[in-house]
Amino acid sequence: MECEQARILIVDDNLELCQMIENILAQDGFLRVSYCLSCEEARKRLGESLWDFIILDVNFPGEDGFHFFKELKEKSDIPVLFLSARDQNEDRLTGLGLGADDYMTKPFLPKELLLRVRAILRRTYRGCEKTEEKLMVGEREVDLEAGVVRLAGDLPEKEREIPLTNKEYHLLKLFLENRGKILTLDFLAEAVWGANYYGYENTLMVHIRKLREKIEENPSTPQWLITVKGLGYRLNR
Amino acid sequence: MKSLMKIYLKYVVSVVVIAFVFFFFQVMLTLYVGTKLNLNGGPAEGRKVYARELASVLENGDWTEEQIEGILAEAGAEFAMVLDQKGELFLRFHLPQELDRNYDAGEIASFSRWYLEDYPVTCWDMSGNLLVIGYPKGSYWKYSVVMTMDNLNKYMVMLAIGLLATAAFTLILIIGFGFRYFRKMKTVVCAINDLSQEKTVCLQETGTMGEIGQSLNRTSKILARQREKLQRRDEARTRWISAVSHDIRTPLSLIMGYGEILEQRLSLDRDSRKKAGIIKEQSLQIKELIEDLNLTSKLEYDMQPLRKEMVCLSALLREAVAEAVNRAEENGAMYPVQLEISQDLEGKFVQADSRLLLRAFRNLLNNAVNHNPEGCAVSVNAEIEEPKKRKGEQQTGWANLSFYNSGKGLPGEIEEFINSGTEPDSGTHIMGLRIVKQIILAHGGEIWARTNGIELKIPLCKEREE
Repeated sequence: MECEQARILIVDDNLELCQMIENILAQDGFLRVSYCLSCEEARKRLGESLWDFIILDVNFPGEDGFHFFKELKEKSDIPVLFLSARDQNEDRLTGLGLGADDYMTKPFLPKELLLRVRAILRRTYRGCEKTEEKLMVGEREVDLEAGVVRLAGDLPEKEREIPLTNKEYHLLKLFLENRGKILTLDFLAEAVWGANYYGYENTLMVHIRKLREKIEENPSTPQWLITVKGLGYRLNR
Repeated sequence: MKSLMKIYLKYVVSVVVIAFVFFFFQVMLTLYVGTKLNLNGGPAEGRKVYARELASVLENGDWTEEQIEGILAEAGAEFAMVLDQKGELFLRFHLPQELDRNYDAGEIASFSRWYLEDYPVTCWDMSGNLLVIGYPKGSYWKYSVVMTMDNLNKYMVMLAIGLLATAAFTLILIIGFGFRYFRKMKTVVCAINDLSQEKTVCLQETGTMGEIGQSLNRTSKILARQREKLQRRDEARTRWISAVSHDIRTPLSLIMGYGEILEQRLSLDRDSRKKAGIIKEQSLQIKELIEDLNLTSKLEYDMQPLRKEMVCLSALLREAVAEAVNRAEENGAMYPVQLEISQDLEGKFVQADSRLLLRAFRNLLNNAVNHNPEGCAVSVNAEIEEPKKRKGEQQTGWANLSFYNSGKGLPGEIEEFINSGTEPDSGTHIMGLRIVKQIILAHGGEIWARTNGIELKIPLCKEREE
């Protein structure tokens, strides 16, 4: 299924907001978007047809979006993004704790909403993403699907492909997702080793060096994966 | 309570001094008056003078009745008589009828010491004869004291002991009464202390201090009522701000959303798209302002729940600085940021709400950017301040952080607000730094404004248990 084919239901008690979100999604190519103004109506719509994604508000007159969500999750696995004016940590944690795929607070920028919707759809329905452009680091191509870095030039397939280890793959994926941005040592270590990452800084350096050997022409004077003194690393655009 | 003890001791000392001065003054006055009366010819001395004068006149033999009467009148005497060695009366002047007789040795011995028929008399030896001058009844008091030396000594010792015992007893009374008042005052002072610490007091409303107790109880009730009222008002205000900031989110979503949609609509002309972009940007600012207002009001009245956890300070600082650098680079790197974290601070933790603390660091870094549109260099330093070792206290030291920039510096009013809490004029925008101050204080930290930035310290917590 392509992302744009996803049937999206917006559940919010504000008509103008529903219309705007429908408009935003439609402009981005989503053609099967619909909305309803109450949980009661949403129950009816969910019973009538199949849906691939729900954007759900939390505050409804007389009913709580969290309550509706719990009821929904008992019956189906439809991914849900909460879009609420409640911005307290507690609300955010309640929403995510119940199993929602994301929690966004109002007011929001349409671009951010689209990015989040697409990310959830990609995660949930693998293969729905658009044909990705090739990920290039300089002359070398990164194939995350295959977990390899391909060298440029006319080399035999076996010599062209440098396989990535598990940790290198995770690191490179993070760098590619946040290309051009500094990622701190702590963020990288936590992402790879989990919450108790303390003491892994030296190991991280080793993995970075290995990664450089695979993506840099000259690993001792890196051009792409740069060290930002005192902060972390950055993959240049 | 130390001051109350001082007051008590001062009271005891001053009462003792007053008693001593009073006693000394009385003794001196008595001595002075006694001496003065005798020197000016007091009764005893005066009587002798007149007796000597009368005797010498009579011995001369050349005297007249008028002369004798003159002397008697001058002495204030009523009569005079002269007895020979056998006690026979041979001269008399205005002698009352009942006294006009001869006297034997026993009578003479008696009246010379006491009274003659209730007349106080003075006797004078006149060459073997006895001159007796009589004064009106009741005009003089005569008393003759006879005591053995032994008894006199005992009497003096008893007198001294009595004096000392009186002084000691007086001192005990002074201290005792003083202590009673000290105890009563102590209750009152404790109650005043409690009031100043916003505690409720309930004192006895009877006895010497009853009226004060009543007043303090009343004051306590009034203060409690006012506190409650203020708290209710603050809560209402915070809830109101919170509700407004909630309700405004949906309309703002529409403004921001349509702003962005119009900004990107290629069918619109460039000018209209630019205006739509401005609408979106300004809406974003309104969103931030509302969020700040909500947060600051909650922090002000302790209504912002702190989700404290062990936070690695160096990691949090790196996150904030990396964000700032990323943003600065998007804007063309007009704000180079330099971060220095001392090695010993690495891996140290603070008990903090990481989201709020990150917010504080962000605000500090953004402040440099927002107030220096022409660009400036920003430097962030972090190091450990070793704890002062005190007995029985488990201190783990502080993290000292500084956020400096080479820009135009903080306005005096804002510096004043951070350092002493003086509110600036309503025209001064201070929300960002107000929130920083509130967050740092809520984490038990301290904050100071310097001309080129902000310094702060946050208490570190014990080593993380592995």
